[in-house]
Amino acid sequence: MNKTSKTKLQILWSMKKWPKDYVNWRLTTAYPNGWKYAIKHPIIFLKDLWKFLNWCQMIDKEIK
Amino acid sequence: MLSLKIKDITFKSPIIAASGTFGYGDEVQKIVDMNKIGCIITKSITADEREGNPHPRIHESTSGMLNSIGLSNIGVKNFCDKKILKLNDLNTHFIVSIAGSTMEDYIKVLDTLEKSQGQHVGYEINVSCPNVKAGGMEFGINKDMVFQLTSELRKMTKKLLFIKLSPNVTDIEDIALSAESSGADAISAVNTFLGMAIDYKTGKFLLSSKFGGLSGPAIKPLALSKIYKIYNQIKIPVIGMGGISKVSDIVEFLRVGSTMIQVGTLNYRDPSIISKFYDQLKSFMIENKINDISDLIGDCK
Repeated sequence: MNKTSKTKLQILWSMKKWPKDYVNWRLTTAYPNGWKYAIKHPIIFLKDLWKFLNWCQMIDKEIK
Repeated sequence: MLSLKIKDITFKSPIIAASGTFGYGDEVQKIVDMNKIGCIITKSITADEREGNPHPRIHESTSGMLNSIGLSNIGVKNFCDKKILKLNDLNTHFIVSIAGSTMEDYIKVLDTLEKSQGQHVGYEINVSCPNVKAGGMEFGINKDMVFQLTSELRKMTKKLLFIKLSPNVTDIEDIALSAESSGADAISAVNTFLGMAIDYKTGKFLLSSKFGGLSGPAIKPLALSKIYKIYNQIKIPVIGMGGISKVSDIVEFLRVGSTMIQVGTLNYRDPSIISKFYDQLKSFMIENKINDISDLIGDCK
């Protein structure tokens, strides 16, 4: 990862401005019951989040 | 400079938010500058509410994303009751994406939307759905089914009618011609490419439905070739999409014949990316002394 790439923490931090409705929609896209599924399956949710953050870093490189 | 017209509708920018990547439209209005978005295409709406496919239904792959969400959506009644009035207040146009399993489904959804108070300027018909009455064959892979579906929907509305084509066909230009001759106002091309992912250690499928649609930068060269082929066969506008991740990609899509372009997968990385692209496209045009966006359309040698 080069110095200009965002770390996973920075990517997570940049998501803090996402409105609740938008986060809810994203969870509904990923899971059949949206946020309820994420709460019932926290390990799956964390694994998916990790994969997503890896993907964000890969896409950031692509954009640059 | 960036504004353009399709039929009687003026869009302030050629850059559109692709269906399924921008919520229904209202969820993002606090984080994006709607003045810099040409149009929003809603998540696909079906006749009834759908939960979609079981988890896992998204797989992040190299330079792309595989999804088999299964048209999860709130259904046309809830959409008209809970969403459409909020979308009327967006400071940009919106188009409703429609999906269905039978011709009757599409007709029901469009009819309900026509009777609603929505100020949508048109419809994008997602024909990459299995036709239950034709043994599950996708509407979009058969030119006769596309012709019949487009003709029926054309009779029902004067609003813009875009037909969103699947790239998973032998001759996409034939399907585009069918849509054009049956009354479509534009062709949206292309939807996702059929793909698959498995775990090399366990052999397990990484999507619950085994197959999914691949989008993102990985498909860009494939999408460009499909758009170029369509553009050279039809007279109505092409709305190009498929792996746009930089402003230079937008210019490439315009040059191969897109009148407008849709940004999809990148919205998952940054929902405000379209407004950034708007500024970058404007700068590109100033730097290269291009006065009108239409000067770029089809300009490839």
